Amino acid sequence: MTSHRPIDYRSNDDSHLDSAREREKQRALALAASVGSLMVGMRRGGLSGLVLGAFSGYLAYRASTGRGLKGTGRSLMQGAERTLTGHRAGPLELSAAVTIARPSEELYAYWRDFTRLPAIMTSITAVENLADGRSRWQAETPLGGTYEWEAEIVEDVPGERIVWRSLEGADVPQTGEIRFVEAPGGRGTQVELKLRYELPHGLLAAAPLGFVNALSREAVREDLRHFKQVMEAGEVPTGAIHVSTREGVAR
Amino acid sequence: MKAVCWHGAQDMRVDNVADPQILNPRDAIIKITSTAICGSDLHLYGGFMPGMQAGDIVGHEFMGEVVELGSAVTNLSIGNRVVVPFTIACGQCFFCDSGYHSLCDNSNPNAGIAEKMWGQSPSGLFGYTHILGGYAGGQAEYVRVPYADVGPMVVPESVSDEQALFLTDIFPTGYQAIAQCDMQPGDTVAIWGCGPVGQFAIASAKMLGAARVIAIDTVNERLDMAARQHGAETLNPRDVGNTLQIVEALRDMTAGRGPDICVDAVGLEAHGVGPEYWYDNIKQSLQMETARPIVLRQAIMACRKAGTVSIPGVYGGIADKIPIGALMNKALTIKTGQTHVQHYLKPLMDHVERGDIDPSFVITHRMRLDQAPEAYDMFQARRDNCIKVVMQP
Repeated sequence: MTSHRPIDYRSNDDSHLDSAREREKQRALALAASVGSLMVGMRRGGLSGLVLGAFSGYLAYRASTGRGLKGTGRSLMQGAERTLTGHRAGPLELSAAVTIARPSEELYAYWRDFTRLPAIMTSITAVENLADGRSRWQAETPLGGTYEWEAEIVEDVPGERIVWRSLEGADVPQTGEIRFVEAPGGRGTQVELKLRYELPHGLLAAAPLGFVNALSREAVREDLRHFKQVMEAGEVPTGAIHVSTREGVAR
Repeated sequence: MKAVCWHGAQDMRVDNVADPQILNPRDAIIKITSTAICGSDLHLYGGFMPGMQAGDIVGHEFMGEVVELGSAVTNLSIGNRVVVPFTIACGQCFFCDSGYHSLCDNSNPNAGIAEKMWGQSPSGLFGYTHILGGYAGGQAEYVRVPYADVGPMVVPESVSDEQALFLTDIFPTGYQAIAQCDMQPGDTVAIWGCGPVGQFAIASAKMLGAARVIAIDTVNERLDMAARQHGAETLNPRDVGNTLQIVEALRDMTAGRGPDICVDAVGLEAHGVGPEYWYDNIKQSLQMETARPIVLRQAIMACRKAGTVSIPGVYGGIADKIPIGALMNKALTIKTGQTHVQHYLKPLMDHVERGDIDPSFVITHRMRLDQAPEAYDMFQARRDNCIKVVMQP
């Protein structure tokens, strides 16, 4: 299993501030920190000074609203996360769809064998089938490490849909659903992929696991594109000359 | 191997690079025997096409000998002499099935980028920007050809390299420009741009039964070729003037009707005169539009009511001041697109084999691959009456 543990920012519980005395203490601390960072910021000048100045203003604001220092870290993280990724803490749902000129039974059969998904899903490096419809999934972190989780199939309707979810103990609890619907006018099958990640600690906290890149609509769409390429043309194309970025996959 | 690499605007170099390899089961490696510079390569040379990276191998008109085959290619043999379509197509998606090979759903590895620019992605192309796949091109000694079981076509022994080479792009491109217009008996076709694609459009218009063909270009040698080879009437905008005067001249030449089919075989680097040209030139250099659509405007303005404007000329991004009022009120039809080469390859090869047309008529210069930088410079400046350069590795 992984060596990375997401950092816990869940300390924004205000119940410990029930005594007025504690609140006053927090307010004083925040104010002191605000003045301190303003002084350091003014002495340093430049960009870092500007950042410290802004931070000082933020702390003064917190002091004025009586929230104090506690929870500042988490609050800042959430703000940064909204700014950087447009995502609020909580479950993240991604979906994309593609039309593939093959019958739904064929597409279902390919996907149902999860061990073939690494050829299609960029973030997944290996999937191994275990007993009782369970499977072990492996993904690579940006630093070259790997992490794993186990999943089980929750729903399985041949030719129509497959739903799977991670088992207890996954770093990022997740659910996946793929649906196959006949396209109009004999154009094959409309394939819709929905992925839901719980992200109890937010998206940035999952960054060390390399999830920020994988967790985008573009990435889901790209994975579906690979599925289409493999099912229609028998291989994932590459513009490389000498070294393929992905292995060619025979259908 | 030696290959012609793009290093920036006005900077093509012959570099030593590693030989290509088979990467996918449907790949083939071709040893190139003849390769040509296309007018659209000049858009890369001029630095007008986005999505190029220093070191990219260019060239999309090439033919040669099969030297290596992927495990899934069973219709070709080592040693086969083949021409290779410049459009890369899987042959098995909805669009390939419908004969729209340049719209292949599966052949562009960078389809996501193209979708951001154009909504949907067309097929990948050899040596023509990373937006269209970043595939290495064929101005080189060897090239990797994807989907080799669908694209390359074996050349009959009786057909020479010079006769077969232009089936890769410019002959089918000129042919499609006319074939997609639903030409009727008695139609007059006006063709802007008498470079190689324009020449093949003129030849195709005659082949498909146009009553009259009017060739329009600012270069007299090209107009001479159009008149001499295909009996086209000619019009040099330099003798006529600005857009309004050209439209008027075409109206006069067609007794007030306007040409039934107007072909823009020029694309994004059109030339013009006066304020209109200055406007587009400034906007293009400030990157506020990616094209100078002067010819497109003229084609729309000149076209007969309910006529067809066909655009084989290449555009990449956006253009300003398109006369949408003329387009709408005259009920015009626009036909355009990269060429579905695979769709036209067989019938056009038959034409060449039967001797109906000898495509080598456009060649003005034969050079070595080593001379590519010099060839680009000459072709761009239209020096030495240069219309088409063929190179041999």
